[in-house]
Amino acid sequence: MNRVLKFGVAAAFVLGTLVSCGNNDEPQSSGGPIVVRRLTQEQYQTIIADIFGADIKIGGRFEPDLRKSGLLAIGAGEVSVTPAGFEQYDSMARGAAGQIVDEQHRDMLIGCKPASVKAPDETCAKSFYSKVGRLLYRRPLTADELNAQLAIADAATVKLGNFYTGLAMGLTGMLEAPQFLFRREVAEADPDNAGQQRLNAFSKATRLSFFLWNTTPDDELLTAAENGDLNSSRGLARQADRLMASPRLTAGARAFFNDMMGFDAFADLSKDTTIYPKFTNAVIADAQEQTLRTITDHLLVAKGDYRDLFTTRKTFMTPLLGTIYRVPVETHEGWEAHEFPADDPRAGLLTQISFLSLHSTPGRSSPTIRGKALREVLLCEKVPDPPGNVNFNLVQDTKNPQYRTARARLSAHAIQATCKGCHRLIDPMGLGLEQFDSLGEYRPTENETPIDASGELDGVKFTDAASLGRALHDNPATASCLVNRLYAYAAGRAAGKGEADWMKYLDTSFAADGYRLPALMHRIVTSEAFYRIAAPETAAVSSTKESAQ
Amino acid sequence: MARLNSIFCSAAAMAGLLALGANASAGEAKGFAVTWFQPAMYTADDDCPDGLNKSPDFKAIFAAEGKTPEQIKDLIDHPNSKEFADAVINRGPHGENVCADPASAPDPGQKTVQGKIAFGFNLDGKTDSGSTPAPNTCAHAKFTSPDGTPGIDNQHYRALGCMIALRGKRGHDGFVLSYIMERMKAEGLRTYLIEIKGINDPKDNKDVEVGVYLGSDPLVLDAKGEVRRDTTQRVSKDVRWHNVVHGSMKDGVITTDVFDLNLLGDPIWVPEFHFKQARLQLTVQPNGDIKGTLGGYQDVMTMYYNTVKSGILFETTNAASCPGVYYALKRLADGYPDPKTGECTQISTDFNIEAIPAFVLHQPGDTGKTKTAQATPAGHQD
Repeated sequence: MNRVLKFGVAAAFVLGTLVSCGNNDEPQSSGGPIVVRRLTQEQYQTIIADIFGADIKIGGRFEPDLRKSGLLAIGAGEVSVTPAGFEQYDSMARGAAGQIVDEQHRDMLIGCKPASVKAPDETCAKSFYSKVGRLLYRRPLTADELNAQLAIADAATVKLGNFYTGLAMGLTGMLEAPQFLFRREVAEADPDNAGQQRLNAFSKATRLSFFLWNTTPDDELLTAAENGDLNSSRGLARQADRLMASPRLTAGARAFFNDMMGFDAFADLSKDTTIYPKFTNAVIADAQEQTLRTITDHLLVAKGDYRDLFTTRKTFMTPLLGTIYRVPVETHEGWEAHEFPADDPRAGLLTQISFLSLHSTPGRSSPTIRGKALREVLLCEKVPDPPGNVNFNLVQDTKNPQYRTARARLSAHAIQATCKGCHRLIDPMGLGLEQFDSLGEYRPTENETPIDASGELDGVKFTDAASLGRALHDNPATASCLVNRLYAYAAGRAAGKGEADWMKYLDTSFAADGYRLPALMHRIVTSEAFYRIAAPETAAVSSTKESAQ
Repeated sequence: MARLNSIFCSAAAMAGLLALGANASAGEAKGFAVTWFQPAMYTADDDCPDGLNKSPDFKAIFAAEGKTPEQIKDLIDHPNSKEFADAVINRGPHGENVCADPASAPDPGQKTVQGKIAFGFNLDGKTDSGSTPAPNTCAHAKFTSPDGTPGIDNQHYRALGCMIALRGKRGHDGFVLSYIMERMKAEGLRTYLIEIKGINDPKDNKDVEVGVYLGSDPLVLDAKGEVRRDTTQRVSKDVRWHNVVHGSMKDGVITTDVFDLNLLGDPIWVPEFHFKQARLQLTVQPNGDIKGTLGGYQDVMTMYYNTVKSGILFETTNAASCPGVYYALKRLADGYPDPKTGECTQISTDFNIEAIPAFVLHQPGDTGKTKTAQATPAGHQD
């Protein structure tokens, strides 16, 4: 272990100890605006499963998500519910409520029995709505809200002659209410910092829970909000520690990386199966899962350096993936750990099927698309879209005997001045991955011509995909990008101008913590900056350019 | 071993050839999943000058059984009825089922192959069709292989090669054979694996070890409906279906020593395969696949019953008669003569094989239990 690393580990230990007691060295931050975010499909489904059990089936189609500034989590703050979308929510709510009160589930999920099945029972209904309403709305129901639910249930019970049907009617209303579908944050005056605002305790609990577990706050967290624990640094740290020690942290981390890596695009991914017959929907599912397993195992289980994700030889394999990676897989079903040997062309996330296949065209690999993705997804840079009048014929003609490799085709294509700048920025990185086809299968030649996978990333030369991964590992923007994305994901918005010192502090701390994700997450959720709400004039969000620096 | 296979597969895909092993003494191993394993039927325009076999003349059979014209018409109008099947199959002189008891019926004269070319091996060492047979064989005509090698023995093809169901454009994919293979692949009915060990050179290796195994995992199809390449396949733990034999590789062609091959058969047609005096020749393809032929002797009666096991369906679908097949196989059998009667009990048979790269994994308890297959001496009777 070298001296720098030793220092880093020691620093991480010291900082980790400090973190548990609050970030005393935290710089001033303006905070940002309050955010209203629509639940994602996964969040909706997870919440229903958490509150009512995994056997409550949710059928229906969710409103499409919006990716903004690189994240769906930010786009979630800029979407609404269309009339057609509301019909879907209504259908899903009715379906779920019907199952919750059916004979199979009612005794376990409602928690009380009416005096008569045919008549209203306000005591039982009130008990039920209070309990589940607190979890669904992420705060106790107001008296007006509770009375409104009871009125609906009573009226429906009288009209339909069945207590449970009436109860389901009220529950349906809660499941399609904006208080449930939208995470609306609430600010309050910060008594410790005169003139400043912060999220109230329930909004804090909500941010914490969705960031770390990707679901609604549990009973203990809401109780901590109710009794004021979350407004003390010690109480906040106690809850943060509890949430981070839970296995459910994996779900939170997976949700973040699923968003950051843009895996929602897999839903629309297709390949020409005459060229890539190994491509199936099962491959798509396994490829995503492989990357998420690799990430969470490295970052949460092994508590590894984030940057090592781009150089690690360790991953997980299924029999299906083994056919594409061309490695034996001993397990007959499910997953097994796999480590590529040191001389293998594959190393790191860039050489996994998920990245390679997602950022290719259906019929061929694309150094340009891959390079653009690398810049935008992993380095948080914005690459302009190509001009509308570009002729792609030369690039797409993979059988042109004059240009037998993608490098040759791109060299001939990118001679126009309008194209040259961007191609010079993104192609060299994409060409480093050219030894993997559109599906992600290794191929050292194209049209029987050896593929030259050398290139340069921001001045650092590489010879192949593995050394490209090393260059990405060593690039300062790689770690900064993660910090930027993680904070934006947690806050639901990009960091504002008034948060520059805070973001710089997170960058520095991340490095001092050995680029450990849990330490970064903990530092964010136990900070004051994370919950600070800015006055409108300082809350301007940088939307035109994202800075990873 | 798994790692060696991994390196090998990548190299094969890169160069289209077998990969070189870094360790010359141990050599590399290469695994394959078999995608075609069916009788080698060489189809040509002039190999059946007497025409192809046909189903029995059902009307004549019914008339000979004393059925009235009305009864005959009723039977012909209901070819899928039990009455039709019984009337056809139970046509022996005393009502015998002629598929179960073919010797009860006279030989209807199966039309057999007259052509000169066939896939296969020279199993008995003779290169001509002279009247003096090799020791422990019966006199028979020889074929020449498509590449001009004389002395080829494939009497199974000679006996059955003029049946439409077994003939095809490619020379070996008659529709019945294709149907069987497609079902085997699509339904995962049977997996055969080949493993070649000791490869130190892409093309020439004096000593290699060839393993032919029953697999325990079904084949997996890709998006095109073809067998998926590069899957991991486990060898069955049942050592009865492990066959390991010495061989050599010259100019990319692997040829084994003589051995006895035993494999669990497909559930559709052949319950078990038992090839005596078998040999295997496999050629490495530019894309890393292997193609070749397995040749050896198979028991005549087993072959007969396997062939006609569907009874009426065989006679109607395959356009042949059970007694015709029986007498042809008996007449053309060329190996392992019965010491008492002198009649040969086994018939030279060749199967075409195609296989694609796969990772062949031996399961715990498998290694060490496989002994090198031995060849049953010619003339030895079980």
